[in-house]
Amino acid sequence: MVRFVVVFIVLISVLFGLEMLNSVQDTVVQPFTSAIARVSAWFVQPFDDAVISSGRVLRHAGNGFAVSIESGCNGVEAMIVLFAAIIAFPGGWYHRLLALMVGFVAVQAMNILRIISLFYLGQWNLDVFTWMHLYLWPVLIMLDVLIVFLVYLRWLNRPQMAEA
Amino acid sequence: MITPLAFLGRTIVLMIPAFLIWAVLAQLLAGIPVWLNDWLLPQLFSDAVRAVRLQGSEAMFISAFGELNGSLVPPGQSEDALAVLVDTRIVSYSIPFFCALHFALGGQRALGFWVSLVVLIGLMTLGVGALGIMSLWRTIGAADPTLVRWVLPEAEAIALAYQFSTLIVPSIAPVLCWAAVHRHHPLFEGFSARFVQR
Repeated sequence: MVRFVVVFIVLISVLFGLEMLNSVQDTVVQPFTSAIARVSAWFVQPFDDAVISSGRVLRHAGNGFAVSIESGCNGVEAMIVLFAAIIAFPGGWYHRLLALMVGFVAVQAMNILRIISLFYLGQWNLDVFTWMHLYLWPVLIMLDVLIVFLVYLRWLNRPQMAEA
Repeated sequence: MITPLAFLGRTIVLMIPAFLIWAVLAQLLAGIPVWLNDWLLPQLFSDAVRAVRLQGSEAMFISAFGELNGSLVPPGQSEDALAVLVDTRIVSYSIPFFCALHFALGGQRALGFWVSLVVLIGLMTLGVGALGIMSLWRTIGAADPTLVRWVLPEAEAIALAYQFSTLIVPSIAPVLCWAAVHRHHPLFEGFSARFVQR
């Protein structure tokens, strides 16, 4: 178990350090963040056609309200944590890859829900927006990561439980 | 045996009282990190930080820099001191998050609970310090970049400490503390066994 903790911490540190590099930001993180803004707009537009995305910004053409998706709001850090946990935990590569794909979808679905909810909360009440943005949504995203990992543990353990 | 989804439901329900209590006690929670930073930072960065004070739930970092005729001036050239306010709740939300996780599994293991709180307050102290140094660096650096170079760490080091303290630690540290305290809980069934198998 010590190995898990060490590998987990090393992976998080290395990946987080890599994420901070300007070259990684320019070539991976920023384009990915822009894609999240586009996907968020795509989900909202059937219900509210005044919403447009431009780069990392999600904007309401009607009232001018806009949110910019910055570092920490793109789900990359949550994915790094999940990636580190899954890779550090003993398991076959097929299981790991499958868990990472499912985890990516779970984290990004939650993150898009966060962005859309914050976009509308900000238009309604900035205090509520601040509360949700700074204190509650980071917790919910990490809870999402934790649940994905716990389900992965249970899934890995399932054949052994069946045999027992 | 509790399932991950039942655990999720319990945690979300418990987050409501946990965050309400946290909102009420935010000033109290900020007290220890602010006090520790008031002791630590003026020693580490004596040319930049004069004191750290508690103002509501915010930490006020009083710098050694001052203002003279509308301009920012180095330490010792003005009686006024430039100060920045930092929202300690950006890092202290780790406490209600940990409490919700802990009590979602029944709240046993009191020793582990209290040790975790001490660890989280320690990390919170580092986070508040990183936030304060970052704010000072940005405020002073925006006025005169040359002023900060000789009194504060490198910009990259500050940025990394700030990002790590605010983006990673407050949300992941409670989960790690909780997992360490409850590692033998049935929720983690198969976790230890997997290592034994290897």
